[in-house]
Amino acid sequence: MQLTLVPAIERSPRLLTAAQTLVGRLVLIAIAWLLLVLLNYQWPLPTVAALALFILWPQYRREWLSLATVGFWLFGFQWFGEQAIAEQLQLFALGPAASAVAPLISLALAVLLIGGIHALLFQLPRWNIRPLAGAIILYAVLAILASYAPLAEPWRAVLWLFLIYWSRFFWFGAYTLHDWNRPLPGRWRQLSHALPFWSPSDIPYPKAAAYLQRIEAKDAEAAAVSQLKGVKLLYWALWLVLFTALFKATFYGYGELFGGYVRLVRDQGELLLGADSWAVATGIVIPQWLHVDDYFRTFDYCAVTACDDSWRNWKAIGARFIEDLLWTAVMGHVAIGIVRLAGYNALRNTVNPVASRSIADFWNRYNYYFKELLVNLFYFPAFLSLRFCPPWLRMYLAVIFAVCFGNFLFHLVRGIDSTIRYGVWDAVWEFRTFFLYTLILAHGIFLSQYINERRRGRKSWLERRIATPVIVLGFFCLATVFVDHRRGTSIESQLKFILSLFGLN
Amino acid sequence: MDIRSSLRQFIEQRLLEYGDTPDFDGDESLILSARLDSLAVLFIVMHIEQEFGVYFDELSFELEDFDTLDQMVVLVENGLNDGR
Repeated sequence: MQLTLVPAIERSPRLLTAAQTLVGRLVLIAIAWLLLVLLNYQWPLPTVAALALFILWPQYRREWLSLATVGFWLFGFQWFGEQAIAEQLQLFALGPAASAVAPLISLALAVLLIGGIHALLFQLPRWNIRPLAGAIILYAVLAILASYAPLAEPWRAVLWLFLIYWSRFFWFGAYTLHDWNRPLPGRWRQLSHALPFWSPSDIPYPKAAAYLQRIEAKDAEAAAVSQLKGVKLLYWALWLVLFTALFKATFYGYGELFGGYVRLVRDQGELLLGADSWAVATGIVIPQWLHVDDYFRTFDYCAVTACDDSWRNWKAIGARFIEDLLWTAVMGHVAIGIVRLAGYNALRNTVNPVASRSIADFWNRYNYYFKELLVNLFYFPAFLSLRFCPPWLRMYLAVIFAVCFGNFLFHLVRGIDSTIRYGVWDAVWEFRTFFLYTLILAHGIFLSQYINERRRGRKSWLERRIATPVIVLGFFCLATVFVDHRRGTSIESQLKFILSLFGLN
Repeated sequence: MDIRSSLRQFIEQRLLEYGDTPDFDGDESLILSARLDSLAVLFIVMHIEQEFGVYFDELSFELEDFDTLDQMVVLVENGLNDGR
């Protein structure tokens, strides 16, 4: 008998049949709740209450999704950037009663306005303009007006409020605008499926309303398969959370489980498992040389000293990279696990990135839906419009457009707080080191695609098993040095850190 | 070589390079099932452009239209009929 960490339960005919019965569905709901609690998910009970509707009455799936999503907009208002909204609303000097309802009224008005703007943008193809290009230009114009135009204060606040909301909906709307000439769900459904209840992320998991309709389960058996795969993914996320805690305890000295109720602590070289009032020795001894300092503390120390401890720096950047991989995997698995439980058989966001065959493949495996966003909305449109260029130049320009411009724009829209605080130009300037990262990433991806295409998969065992993983993981590990959204981090200090890794300073 | 055979041969080669088996049915999902990725679609697009002189409109292009061999054949046939 073969033991696997996460068994393929969706392939068991008995479980598939059971999952379609009333008792089986109730068990699925209970397991989903237990897993979300163990995963320390922010809203396990409301989420499972919503999932219960999907699982028990799947014929109303689309209606449940609209209802659950709008419900989460209202009750999980922090998804929209609660503080930024409150700061803008303060300028209206509202009374206590008006202050209480103002965020909801502003949200409702913003959603209506976004719907109206989209209706207008859908007319742009008449003039051979892509609706998404129109949305980007309009967003930029409004942000510039709010930053620099001599507007009276309430009007500026109204503009910023609208941009705060639009920023959160922007990429969901972008998918809808991208699908302008296909059969789309109704306007209300498009809006109420945006920023869905399963994830507060700006990255549409898994894309938007039209895509959801394409991947939803068409019968009871398909729904059962999707739901069992959802349970499996949440269970796998739990293993990754356990591994993350063990990883952090081993290298940083402290790891948490179940929202901090259980802790793993390295004490005098030994790993202890415990809670507030108890602790037991695990018998696992961690040598001191494995200790890793926090990356940002190490980086800051390097910036102001001779920075000659390359081993310390390698450990810090390596640990940050692994921690980031694990975090992205857990976050994506939880979101897609809930998506699948709702009856939408979506692909996973992260699939074994350490097995990547190339730099481009790593990106595909590490953060699939973000890559899809850039590919669908930027890469292919650029590639297709450059048909008169030689193939390699066409590919190069499309990669630059997607990975530099698209990636940069995504982060700028997401960082609307910075734009409000500093104005458009200063916010863009703050992202300069991130822009360098996108340039490095784009060239890495292009070279990876170009070389792979020329070689058409002819690689020796040594190249496949040793050289490729070292190059791919090493590339991303080093590139993340340029991903630092703290204000004031300079390119010079980042270059100094990278040089220090190779004993150069 | 006809459209279907040419596309099938090209896709089989891609699947082999991806470490997959070259077997697939005409209506079998290749993109949504993650057997092929967006980069593979890019090369399929270039193959269609070079072999059949069919160019896709960037305003209406959709990655998932390339999900199955049957869909790709229809795309090429429509493209030839439109004179694109």
